[in-house]
Order: sequence, then C-alpha cells, then structure tokens
Amino acid sequence: MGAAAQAVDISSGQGMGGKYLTFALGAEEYGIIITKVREIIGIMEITAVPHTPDFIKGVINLRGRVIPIVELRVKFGMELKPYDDRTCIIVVDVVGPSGMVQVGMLVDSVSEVVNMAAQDIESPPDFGAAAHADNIVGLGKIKGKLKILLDVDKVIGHSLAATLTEIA
Amino acid sequence: MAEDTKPTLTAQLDEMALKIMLVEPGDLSVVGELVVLIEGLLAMPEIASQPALAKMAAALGEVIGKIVMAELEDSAENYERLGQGIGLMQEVCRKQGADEAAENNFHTLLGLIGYLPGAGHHKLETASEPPANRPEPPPADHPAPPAPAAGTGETLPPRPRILESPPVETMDFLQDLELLTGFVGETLEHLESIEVNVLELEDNPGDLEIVNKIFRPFHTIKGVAGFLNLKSIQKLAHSTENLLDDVRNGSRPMDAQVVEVVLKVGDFLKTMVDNLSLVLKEGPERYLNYDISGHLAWVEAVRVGQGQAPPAAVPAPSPTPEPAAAPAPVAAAEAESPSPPAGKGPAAPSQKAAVGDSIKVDVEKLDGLVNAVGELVIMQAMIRANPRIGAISDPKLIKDFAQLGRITTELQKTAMSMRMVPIRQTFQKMIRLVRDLSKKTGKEVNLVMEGEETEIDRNMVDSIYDPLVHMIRNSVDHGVQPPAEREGQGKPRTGTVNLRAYQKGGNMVIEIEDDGQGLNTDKIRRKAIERGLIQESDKVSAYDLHNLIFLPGFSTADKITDVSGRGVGMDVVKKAVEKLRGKVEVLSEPGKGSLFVIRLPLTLAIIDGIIVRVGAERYIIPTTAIQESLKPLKENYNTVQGRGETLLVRGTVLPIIRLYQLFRVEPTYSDPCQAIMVVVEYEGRQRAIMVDELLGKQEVVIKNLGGLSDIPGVAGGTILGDGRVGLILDLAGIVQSHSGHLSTDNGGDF
Repeated sequence: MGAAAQAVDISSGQGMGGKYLTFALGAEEYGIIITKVREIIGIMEITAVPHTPDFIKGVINLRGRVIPIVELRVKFGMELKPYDDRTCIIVVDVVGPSGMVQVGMLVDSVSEVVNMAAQDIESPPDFGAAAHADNIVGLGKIKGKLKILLDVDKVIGHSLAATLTEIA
Repeated sequence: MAEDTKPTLTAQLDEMALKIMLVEPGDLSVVGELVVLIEGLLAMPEIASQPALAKMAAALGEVIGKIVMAELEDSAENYERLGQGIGLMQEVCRKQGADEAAENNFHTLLGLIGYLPGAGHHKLETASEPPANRPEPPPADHPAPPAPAAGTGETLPPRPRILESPPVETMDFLQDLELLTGFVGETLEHLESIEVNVLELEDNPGDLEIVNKIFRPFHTIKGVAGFLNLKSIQKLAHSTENLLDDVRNGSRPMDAQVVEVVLKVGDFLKTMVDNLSLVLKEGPERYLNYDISGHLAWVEAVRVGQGQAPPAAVPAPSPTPEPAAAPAPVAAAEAESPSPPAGKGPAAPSQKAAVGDSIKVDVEKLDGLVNAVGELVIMQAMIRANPRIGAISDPKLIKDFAQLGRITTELQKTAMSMRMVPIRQTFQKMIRLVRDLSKKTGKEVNLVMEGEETEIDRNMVDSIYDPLVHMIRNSVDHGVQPPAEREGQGKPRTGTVNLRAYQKGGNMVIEIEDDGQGLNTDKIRRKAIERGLIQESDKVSAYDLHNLIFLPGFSTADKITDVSGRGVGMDVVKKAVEKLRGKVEVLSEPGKGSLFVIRLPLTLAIIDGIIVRVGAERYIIPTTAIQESLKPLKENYNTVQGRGETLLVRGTVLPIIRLYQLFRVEPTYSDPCQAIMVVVEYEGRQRAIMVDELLGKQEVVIKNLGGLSDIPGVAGGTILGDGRVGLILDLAGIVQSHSGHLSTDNGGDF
C-alpha cells in the first residue's frame, strides 16, 4: 500500500498533510484540501440548465459571475434530502475541460477546518466496484473519526468534462 | 452558438479560404497558419466520411509544403490557384461526397502550379516547420538574382530568411521572460505606428516631425533589443535609424526608396518579433535565426543613395529550387525606381488624432470592474424593489435613491465604454493594403476614410479585420477599373474607395464604397438561374440579385461576378459578420460603383432580448431572431400524422417547438391555444416556439455558464433583475435539436 499512497501524492500533489475543510453528506464526513476552497455560501435559487446530467443542479449568480452547481448527493448516488438552513454551497477552484473554473458543491452542512498530519492519512482501501475510489485521495482519522478526503479536480472537474462528452 | 465553438469541416475550409486570401508572396507566416489549418482539417473525425476531400487536402498540404521549401514558385498566381483549389474543396464538402469534375479541376490546378501527385512526398510534418528546414545555401556562392518580373516594375521584398547554421545569437534573452513579453507587445505597437507614419510621410515628404515620429520608435526598439541581447533586431533597427537620421538632418532626401525600405524593414522586424512571440508561447525550440544581411545591405545601399532595387528579387520562376538571392544590393535589375510616382499611393489621412493621456489596464481587471458594476446595478434595483423600503415615504430617501440611480447608471456607462476602442487602428491597416494592392494591380486608388474615431467592442476588432481586408481587396481588385479604362468612361483616372464608420441606432455601421464598375447584374442573374435559385420568368429586383453574391458557392468556383476574388466567396464575409451578430448587404449601380454595408452590434457583451417564462423558468430569446408573437387560434393549429405540430401564421405553416418539452421543465400551459407562440427565424427556417408568457424586453449582459458549455439550445446566461440567472436561448441549437427529436418527442399530448 505504501507505494500506492506515494503514487497518489505525486499525481494529485495534495494527498499529504495540511488543512482540510470538512463537511457532511448524510452520515458520512468528507474533507477537501483548503487551498481549493474559494468561499462558502448559503443555499440560493438555482437556475436549472437543460440537457445536463442530473448531478448538475444548475447555475447560480455569484456576484455577477455564473457558476455551475454540482449536487454531491446525486453525484455519489445518495438519496436526496430537502434543503435546510444548514445546506451550503462550497465554491471550489477546479481544473475543468477548458482551464480553471469555479464550481459550487451542494453539501448538507459544513463542519470545520482541521489540520491533518501526513501520518493520519491512509491511502484508500479497495472498495471494488461499489465506490468510486479514484475520487478519493485518502482516508483521514481525526479523534477516532473517519474523514473521506476527496480530490475535487476528479470529482468535479472530470464530471464537467463528462457533461460535455455526454452531450456531444 | 454551439456551432461556433465546434469547428466543422465547412468552418475549417472557410477559415482556409480566408487565410489563402491574406497570403502575399514572400510572407511565410500566413502560409504556416494555412498548413496548421490543413493539418487540423485532416485530423477531424468527420473527414473520414469524405475521402475525396481528404485526398485533396493532403495534396494541398503537399503543394504548400513545396512552396515553402522553394521547390514550387512562391508567386501570387500560384496562391490564386490554391485559392481556387480551396474553393473546389468547399464545393466538394458542400455536396457531401465525390464530385469528379471538381476533383479533376482541382488536380489540373495543382498541375498548373507544377505539382505532380506522387512525385516526392513531403510529409505534412515537414511542412509545418518549414522555415527551419528550408535549405539555404550560403549567399556568397551565388550570382546576382534574375531581374524582377518584367513590365510591372514591381519588386518583391526579400523573404525572411533563416540560417540553418548554429545560431549566432545565444538564447540568453529568454532569461527575463516578462521583459521579453513586454518587448514583443511594445515593438508590435511601435511597428504599427511606424507603418502609419511612413505612409503619411509618403504624402508629406517634407514633414520632419513625421520623420521624427518614425525615428523614435526605431530608436526604442534598438535600445530594448540591445538590452535583451537580441542582436539581429538591434542591428537592423540601428541601421534603419541611421538612415532616418540622415533624412532628418538633410544629408539624404526623403524619397520613395526610403519609404519602401523602411516599410519592408518594418515587415521583416515584425516577422522576427512574431517569431519571438511564438517562442514565448511554445518554447525556445521554435526560435528561428533570421538572416538580416540582405535587409542590412539594402538599408546601407539606400543610405548611400544607390539602392535602387531590393537585394533579393522575385523567387525563381521554375519549380526547381533556385538558390535564394544574394544579399548584395544589385542595382542593375531595374533602372527606374520601383515605387510609383509620389501621389499615386492612397492618401493617408492628414488629420492627426488628438491623443489624450492613457494608461494600460489588464483586461481581467477591466472585466472584473464591469462585472462588479453590473452587480451593483442589480443590487440597487433589488433594494429599491424591496417592499419594506418601498413603504418608506421619506422624501429624502426617495431623492437619495434617485441620485444613487444616476450615479450607478453613469458608472455603468463609463465601465462599458472602457471596453470600447476606436476603429482607427483597424482602418489604418487598410491604408497599407490599398497602397500595396494598387501598386500590384497598376491601378490608381485613393482611400478615403471617415469616422475612424467610431468606437467598437475591443473583442470585435480582431474578428472584423479579415472580412474588411477581403472586401477592400474586392473593391480594389474588381471594383475599380484600370486608369485607362476609367478615362475612357469619363471618370477620373484615380479611383476612390471610401471606408466609413459611424454609429446608427445602436449599431456600428461600416461602409465600403468604390466608384468602380459595379456588379454585373446580368451575369449574376444568369448564374442564379443556372443554379436554380430563380426561374427565368421571375422578376427579381437588382438589389435582391446583387445580394445573392453572399450565398455560399455562388461566387466561388468560377469568376462569374465582378467581385469574385481568389476563389473565395463573399459568403465567408457574410459568415464572419454573422458570427458577430451583424448583417452585410450590397448596393450597386452598374458603371457607377458598389457600396457594401456592414451593420454590427456595438458590443458583443450585450444582447437585446425578450424574456419569456416557461413554468418557473425564464429564458431570453434574442430580439433579432423574433418575427412576432401571438396567441394561436384553434383552427390554425394542426398535427401532422398525429405527431408533428404545426401552426398556420399568415398562410405559412410553421413547426411548433414546445420549449418545456425540449428543456424538460413543468409548464403552466400544455394547451397551445392558451400558451403564447413566439415566431422566430433562423437561417431562413421559421419555427413557432411555445412559451407560457412574455415578461418583457431587456438588454442583457451575456455571460458564459462557468464550466458548462456547448449545451444544445443554450447560448449563455445572464443575470436578471432579481439577481437570478436566466438562460439565453441559442436558436441554432433549438431548431436543430428539434428537427432531430421531432419523431420521438412530440407525442401528441394535446
């Protein structure tokens, strides 16, 4: 496993320790590296865009700029849940099909920013076909709790690229 | 607008047609771009279905490769033939398959250039980096060049030459990339101003202030190039500077030779700087070490007053590779001066634009400002629309709100105007074009420009350049007659081409008018009948006939109209203008001349649209496409085979598009007689788009949808008055996807 973990580090450059923003989706806790996070905003009205995959919820107006919103629950095949006052949009910078773009991720709630030491991060175990392990940078353990650390470029950036090929 | 971003075979061919038109003998940079386009064409997946086209493209690539390698002649005639070849390729592409006649013609054309299929295959890869591979024998070993093509008195510039030997210059100028980037940008600007000033000087040879204006940028280029250790550029700029200094202090008179040499040195410097900019983009391996000795010698010769002919003359007339000309200034070629007598060239505008103080601003910062101001305007509207605020009846608040409104409007106007630039620079490039063209064709043409101060969106400037070049070329090449013919018709010897720009009704209008022979209505009529566009018995107005020249394939293959150029149709111009959401038309009177009118929106950033509602969603339909909107009557609604729905509007049967079905949203009305039909037209096809309600007309700012693009039916987004995003409809996509889904989607739920 050691070799595999290293391979992840080299390719994504973000597999190791650092500050992570953690958020909840159902019972699961996720984390993304803080350098990718632009801002966190509350839920707002989203304009649906036709001919896009289900997980593209639509677009919003972020201070005069139009950005797409990805509903992570749909993306991960989880059940939908009505939005409440804890529902958040995490705006991240990702590498899209045509360069850097800002994309909002719709999550249940934002938890905290944690410092994750390199030795607390394990490379993702083999889930077989049941879960998309290639989206995952590693599993972080904080105070006995497990955080699933995501590679946002893969989760979001690649789904944007997939959107385009689907349409074409 | 999805089709704009996705290059199709047709689009690629159009692009090639435009490029070939811009090629000048000796100008390898455009040829390089052409090669890239051909490679792109061959790499497209769609080409697999058109083997004939693929073969033609490959052959074309080979011919161009040979021209670059100097195996075939680098002459205007050959480019003209290539242009016709591309025209044939467009024809084949349009016909979607084998067209033997076109193919045979194509090969005949290539044969005329001297190409034999199968004889010595140069791969395209070689052609893509031609200059570096071009064999360049040492100049000293070869005799003087042959005399320039007889009769014309025209001299061709030395080709930018590249040394194969180890570079004299080390690449240490790459150490400070930021400085080099700045140098490239500034030098290109300097060169542009030099060109404009030289042309002005040609008309006012005694004006030392203009000499100074040319001298200074050369001096600056020399200085910075020296600092960056760009030795060739420094040397060339330095020697030209010396020449200009002589002119300035009166030790050498200002004459046509000086003008010629300074212009050509400017061109050569531009080639070198363009190469540097390529190096910056693609890495040091793209660096080419240009041979400046020819130009240096020429400048020196002119300086001592004997440089009657440029050092290198026309390329060898035979297809076999002839050694490049010796760089020594051989004055024997032509006794007379190659330049036309003073006053023959186009008159440069003598007016000197008053230039205010200005600073350069990063484009991104500017866009950020425009965005922020847009947001401010929306926020302000939202606050005012808040019912609680509305309930306050304080006169001071109302007054303050009015004041705030004025300030934000002013701010928005200013921010928008910062994106606008005068069209002057684009127009000024035409001076040179007309000058060169009139020299080449032996015609006397006077270019008169008006309204250079008219402002145009910065983003449109580049896109309008190519169509303008094409139309000016047409006017000079085919509109204005030769001097003798003009005199015979009782016209002044010198033809006039007017280039005008002005704003009218929210549009930018560009007019190109010549006093030449006008379009040949009869020929166009005959061709239209031949192509089945009109019937022999049809009475078609001259205006409608003239505007047929903008149809694809109408003026390409053969020279039937007086405006056909190098096998490039006016349809290319029309497409380029339509891409900018503009329109182009021609008015012509036989014997008196033609007037081309281009109407463009002032900016690409804003679109005039009707906001419509479908269920909870709002969409914007561009006003230009809308013909009318109506509530349909039951008797006008019909289904075809129980599936396709149609609406009868003024005797025309229009297919209905249920927008809610196409976009899968929940509508308020699914009964067409309760809903509203918006009749739109796209490329001659009319459709009735079914929506719930019309909400109003508004100018909206077009924004892209972040990482989402190429969505069928959606051209972009905009921020509506309440801060939410509204989608702008792309009628091209809607009309297309509708015809695709017709059989499955409209399962008569009415």
